[in-house]
Amino acid sequence: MSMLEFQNISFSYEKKQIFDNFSFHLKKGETVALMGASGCGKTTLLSLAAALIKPTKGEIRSSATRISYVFQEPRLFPWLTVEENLRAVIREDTSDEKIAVILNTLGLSDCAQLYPQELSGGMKSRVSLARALIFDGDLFLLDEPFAALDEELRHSIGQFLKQHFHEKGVSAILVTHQLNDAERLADRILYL
Amino acid sequence: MKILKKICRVLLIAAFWICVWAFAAWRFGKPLLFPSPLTVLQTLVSMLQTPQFYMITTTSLGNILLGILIALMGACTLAILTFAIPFLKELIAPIMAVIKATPVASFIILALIFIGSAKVPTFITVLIVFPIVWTNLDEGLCKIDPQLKEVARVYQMSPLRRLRVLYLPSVKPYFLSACKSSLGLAWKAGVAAEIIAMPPDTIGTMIGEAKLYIMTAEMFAWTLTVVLLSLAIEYLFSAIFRQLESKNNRKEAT
Repeated sequence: MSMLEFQNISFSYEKKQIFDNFSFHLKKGETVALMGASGCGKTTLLSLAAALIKPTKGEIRSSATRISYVFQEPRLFPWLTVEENLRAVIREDTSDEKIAVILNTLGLSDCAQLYPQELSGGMKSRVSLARALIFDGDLFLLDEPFAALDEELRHSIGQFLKQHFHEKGVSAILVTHQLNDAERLADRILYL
Repeated sequence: MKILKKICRVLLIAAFWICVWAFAAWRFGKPLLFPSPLTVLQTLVSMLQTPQFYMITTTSLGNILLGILIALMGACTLAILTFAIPFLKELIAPIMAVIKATPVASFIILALIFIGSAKVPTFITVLIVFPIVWTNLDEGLCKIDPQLKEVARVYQMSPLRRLRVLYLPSVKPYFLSACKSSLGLAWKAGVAAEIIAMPPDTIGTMIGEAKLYIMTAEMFAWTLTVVLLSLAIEYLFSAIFRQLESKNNRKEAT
């Protein structure tokens, strides 16, 4: 069963053609890693999947009801604390316990009342990931989520995500430059 | 200790200028035209002992604060509308430009003809504050971080939630800046409107009448009242703005 399907997509930024008659298919419960040179269209593919931009040609079919997107930049609201940034996206039935568990899992329990400007780059990345987890999407779009993390954290959070995706039957597209991360998390790797 | 030093410095500077004034009045030698600080102070003290003083001051404050309130509400509403309907912004841009460029006195005289003297101070205050607040809010709304807008979109934030976590915090600094810029101007323009339009029982009218009857000491006393009230209002609002901004500063500290 298909979660996401790109059918003969074409897309260009001004005069630069990014995709030309490109097709892609993501099954439900599958994780695909996207790798490739800078500027080849990895982030563009995620933006198309999230319907933030539209293809110039072709069709995108998505059965995702909720998309958790970890952007390349953390994109946290600077006037909200870490906890408030998470609460900004939660459903009404999300318990405080769930927020606490996610913060604890990502090593952010001590940072809950800090503002983004008071965090390191790695911490901001983890808050962005926490936000995606708390939103509980059925499709995860992860744009270099581990870029600012050390190897130990990459491993532990990678394992956690793999388990989470498996338990929830979540589909995911992971953009990464690191083959280790791709092999750890993904069912298949796509080179653009 | 620091505050005490600051107060002493302020008092010394005030004392210096009062001495300059006293010396100038003495040298000028015509107390009817240029009263001394002591004469003005005595006049002010006697004014303070009359109930009319407080009624007049309250009326002026009320007129101008009403104008500020109307302008703030109107500018906020229009900013939201012009943000939602870009063509509307193009439509009103020439009007805003004309309002900003036209001398206040021209508007006061036109307003006198059409709306009567009692409403002129409020109207003029609105004219001064409205364009400043609208321009700032418009800029704030246009400069909302597009990346954060994408976050709100992807994470399916409701309109109310977007208002609370994105739009209001984004425009808050612009709004506070507009209030700071326009407050002093509003007060001055409002009193100027009162001097020209001479609505009943207002500070500007008292200044105008004092000028008419060459009651210079009263004119100075009322002017001093305007200055002191202006300082008091600025001090009060500065304290409020500092409170509102101090929270921002912690959030935005690098």
